Amino acid sequence: MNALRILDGHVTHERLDDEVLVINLETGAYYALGGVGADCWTLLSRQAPIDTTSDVLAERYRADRATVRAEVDALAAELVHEGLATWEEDPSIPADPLALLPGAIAPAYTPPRLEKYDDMEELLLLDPIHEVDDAGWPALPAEPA
Amino acid sequence: MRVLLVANQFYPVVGGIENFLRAYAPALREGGHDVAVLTSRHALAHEPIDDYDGIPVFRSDLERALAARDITRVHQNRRWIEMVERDWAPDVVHAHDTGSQMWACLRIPGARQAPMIVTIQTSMPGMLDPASLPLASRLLEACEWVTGVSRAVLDEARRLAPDIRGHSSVIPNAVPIPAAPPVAPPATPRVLCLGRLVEQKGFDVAVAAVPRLIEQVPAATLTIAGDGEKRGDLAAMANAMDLTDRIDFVGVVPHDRVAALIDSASVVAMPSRYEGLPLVYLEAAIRERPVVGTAVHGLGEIIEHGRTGLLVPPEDPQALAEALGAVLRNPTLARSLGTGARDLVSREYSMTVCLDAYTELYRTVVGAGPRHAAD
Repeated sequence: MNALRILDGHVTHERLDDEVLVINLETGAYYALGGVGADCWTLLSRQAPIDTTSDVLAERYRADRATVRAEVDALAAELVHEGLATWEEDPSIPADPLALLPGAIAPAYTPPRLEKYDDMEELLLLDPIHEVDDAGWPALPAEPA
Repeated sequence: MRVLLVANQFYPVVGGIENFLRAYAPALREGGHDVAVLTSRHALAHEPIDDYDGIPVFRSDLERALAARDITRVHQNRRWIEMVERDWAPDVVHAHDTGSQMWACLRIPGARQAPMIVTIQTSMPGMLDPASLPLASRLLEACEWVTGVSRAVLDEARRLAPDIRGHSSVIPNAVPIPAAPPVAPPATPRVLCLGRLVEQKGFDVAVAAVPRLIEQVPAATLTIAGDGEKRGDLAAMANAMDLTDRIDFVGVVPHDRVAALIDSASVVAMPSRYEGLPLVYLEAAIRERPVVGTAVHGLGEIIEHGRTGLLVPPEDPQALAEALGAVLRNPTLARSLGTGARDLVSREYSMTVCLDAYTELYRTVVGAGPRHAAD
């Protein structure tokens, strides 16, 4: 298999500057990929083949091609394992993969890493001690002019 | 030492924790420490970074993002809190009660650099939804040290999180002791309830006590200062009981006017359903005003019945009215309870005592380093 297809039915994703946030709507877990990982996701999510993705990243970050390839392979497998993507037999390969990436790049190559956050449910359990509404209750009234 | 104070709310929000931190943070700085506050943004303080009396205040938008169930904003705020902790580089993080800001500090990926102390400010079972108690207990266990502002709230926390027994202690809240001497009580009998108008404070019990109080002290009035979700209910209750000429709702009082408000009262009523160690008691005590309070948690510890105040059972308007009437009808008793309370607070609950206890604890935990570096 040489390309991925994002499981759009239950996965949403958004690029925020140099970080990509991927949400698995079925499990409630979300994932962050920063720097090289964000670029890797951007390419793979548009069905760029792993070969192509590795070439683009190696050139963009002036990194060893074999090393990059191994790490892209590992990330792709992890994305499939986490239920975010599936292998694609017949990818619609983008004509100019490099054009998919933003102009600015991270200062140096670091292995693409998928950070998983599955603690949203527990965070939502933590009631604030003081409920504060939009007006900021219970706040001091504004001083008279 | 660099101390990052963490609280879900801070000035301009008013409340016991917020007012304590407004006094504690500057006192810590005057003790030679670098201090910053991590808290929530607010309608009146919506910039991510501002300052309070020269102390940096970092304000995340995590709570609102959580309320909106907006994962992107939640994540951005987690990252922002990580950045604050990395860039400001505290030696110790001191959280006040469990909450989302504290949670985010504990959940920073990789090893935490600074040890964390959490101070339990109020009754956890009273404050938290039962479903969230297991998580709150785990958060306590993840901290290097846990303090309770009273023996009762710490004992409750130890029952919920037995693992903290070896690294927890009591450090009470405190107030600065003002140089200005207390003033004489007013000529007219006036009862004061001061605090957030929420179920916890039990001000409805004070309203219910007014008719019986008037039977004993015909000129007695009740002033309720503060605001909150129960204001409408309390006003409706006063109206239904035909007490609108006896009960005055004065709204939120800025902290710099609290001393004058207490001076204008004959006695302070604290009919709370649960408490940590309420600042209102300490503030009334340093103004030599007698307090009638309920025998709950820290309030029941600090009031020695007949010496530093009068204790009544919670949810008992009759007992509250009797005790308030006893104080209002007996100036000698009122004076004795007021001076007893002031002596106690000056000796054991001054900001100096509190500061010494916390700075010694900071040195201990910083010396030991994070216990849960891999959390």
